[in-house]
Amino acid sequence: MTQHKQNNNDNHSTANQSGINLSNVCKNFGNIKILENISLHINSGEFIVFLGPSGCGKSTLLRMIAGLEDIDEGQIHIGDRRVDQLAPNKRGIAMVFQNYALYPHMTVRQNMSFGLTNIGTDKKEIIRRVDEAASTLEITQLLDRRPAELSGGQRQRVAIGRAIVREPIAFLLDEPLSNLDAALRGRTRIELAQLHQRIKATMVYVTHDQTEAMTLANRIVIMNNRKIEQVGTPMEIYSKPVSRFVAGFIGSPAMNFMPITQFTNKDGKANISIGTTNINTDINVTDLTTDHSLTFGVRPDALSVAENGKGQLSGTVEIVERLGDRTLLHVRLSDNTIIVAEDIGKSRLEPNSAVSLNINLSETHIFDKQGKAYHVS
Amino acid sequence: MLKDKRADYLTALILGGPFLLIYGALFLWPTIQMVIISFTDAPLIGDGEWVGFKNYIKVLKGRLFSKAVWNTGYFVVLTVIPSTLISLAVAMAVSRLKGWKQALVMAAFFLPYILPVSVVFLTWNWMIDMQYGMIQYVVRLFNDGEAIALTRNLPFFMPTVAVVTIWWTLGFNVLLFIAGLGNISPEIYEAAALDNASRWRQFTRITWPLIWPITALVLTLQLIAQLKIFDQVFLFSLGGRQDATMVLVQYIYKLAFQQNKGGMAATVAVLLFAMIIILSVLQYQLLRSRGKK
Repeated sequence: MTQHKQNNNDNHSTANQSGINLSNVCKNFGNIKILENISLHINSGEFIVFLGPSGCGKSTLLRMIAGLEDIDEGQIHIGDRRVDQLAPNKRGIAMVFQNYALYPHMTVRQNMSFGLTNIGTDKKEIIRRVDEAASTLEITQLLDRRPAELSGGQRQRVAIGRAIVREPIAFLLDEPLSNLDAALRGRTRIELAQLHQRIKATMVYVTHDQTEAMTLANRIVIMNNRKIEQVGTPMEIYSKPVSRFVAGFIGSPAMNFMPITQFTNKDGKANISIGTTNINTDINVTDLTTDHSLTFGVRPDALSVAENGKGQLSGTVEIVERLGDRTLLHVRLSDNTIIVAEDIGKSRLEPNSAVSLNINLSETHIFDKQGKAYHVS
Repeated sequence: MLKDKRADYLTALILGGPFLLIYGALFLWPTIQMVIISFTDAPLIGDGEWVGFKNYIKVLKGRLFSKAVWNTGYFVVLTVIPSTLISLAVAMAVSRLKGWKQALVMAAFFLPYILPVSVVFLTWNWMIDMQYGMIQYVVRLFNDGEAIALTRNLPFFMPTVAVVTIWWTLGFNVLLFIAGLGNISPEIYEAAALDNASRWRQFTRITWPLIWPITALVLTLQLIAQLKIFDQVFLFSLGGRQDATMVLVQYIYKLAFQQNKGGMAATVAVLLFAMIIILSVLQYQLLRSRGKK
């Protein structure tokens, strides 16, 4: 990889050297389409997260970049080299596997040096790099142990260390935190973020955990049903989801969806009815022509209790979830839709009490029959 | 949960009793008898006089015993390691196949294992027949067009029986190796591929060390089985000079059933018993400690 970097001439910006470009990549297993027409550009030094439900093809896509799966159509470029026909070891990437895939019979040091030994790296250089990576990851005292003698978190560090010593163009991480317990996952997440800031390498990270995605990513790639649904920064995805799927997938508790009973397009803005309530929104619907099967979306944190009882929505509190810093109210509306609203930590509300809710209209969305989203512009 | 201790003992007795009884009656007691008989001049049936170590001295000084030890040892060398290596190679090839193809090939390799020795003997006796055996086509290629009686020429006898034995018993070892290979996570090979390890290096640095416990097991099982070799050697040597190809169990058979020397036969059996225990325990410990390094 080092060689590859040196071979690039000067008029290439560093941005090109470790960026990853996918164009129209397709993958089939027999007659079953796994991925369809995936196109994506990952910038050099970017921390990008593939997020999606299980079976959406995100791990397959990562494995295709790694070269562990063939692609059926399209091209993959890493830096300015086309790599989709190259063997995994020729692509200059390193991968951290979900189950770490450490060599069980080798010590930590042997695990980390194996790749370098295979390409005939100078022994002193191997020792230097392993020691350096070990001290970065604080695993120096573990170098003579075997994987079986390590805890889950330590194995995870060794797996990352094995990737670091190879000085790859890009790191590919396949759900690396999913085998850790909650506390350790939180800590390791922060360490990964720090590691990325320090070594500034391109990182492609696969997860089904939205907290990991939101906290780690420069950009998130939301995948669903063999396709990329949306690419954007965590806040873009949270506040401007392009589809009902993304809106429902990101955010916890999930966005509330309410059927729209009446819709008028007034000068490009939507005036809607939810049950018997009329709401004049600022949602931009200039190009929305259908007026049936529309859904109104609002996140729990955009709903607040109206103390004066004059909020846009009213209903009965069914369940009160007290989380300490805030309270989640499960409210049944008059049309029997149940929505979740956020209240302050010391909420006075109890189950069965009547409640009136204010909607923060600047954070509302409309979804059409196909799931396409309309936002307040 | 607290339980009556006596009830526990009763359960243990009911569950373990039948086995202990049968094991004691059919293995321990005969073994003790065998050791006792080896110190007497008993015939095959009936009691004998106590003769002390006379049988042992006689057997150990005998020409046929050293011949049998030599032949058995030679057979072990010809079969144990080659059979283990071939099994591993076959297992690695078979485990690359998938679905029904794997099942079919595995069944093909396992089939001989379920055949009785008489069938194996007859099949191979045809195969190596001087006039119409297919093996002779190969033999003629290397022997200026002349066929060779493979089981009637001393230098060819043991190697021929060894080949037949390996073919016959391969399936079980292959099965053990396939199970062992299946336990190595495919992710490890993917990691190795990303780590620039060539196929050969993946074998020497990943597969071989990780499959080593199975290899040690197969080697030990093979050693025990081949030290007890009798049927194939006996059958292939029928009609030939049996003393020249004599193996240890065959020698026991000859002493007991052909010469009516029960005491002497027991002596050889005790010696073989000791040999198997010492060699297999020694080998297994040696192999295990090697694997740990």
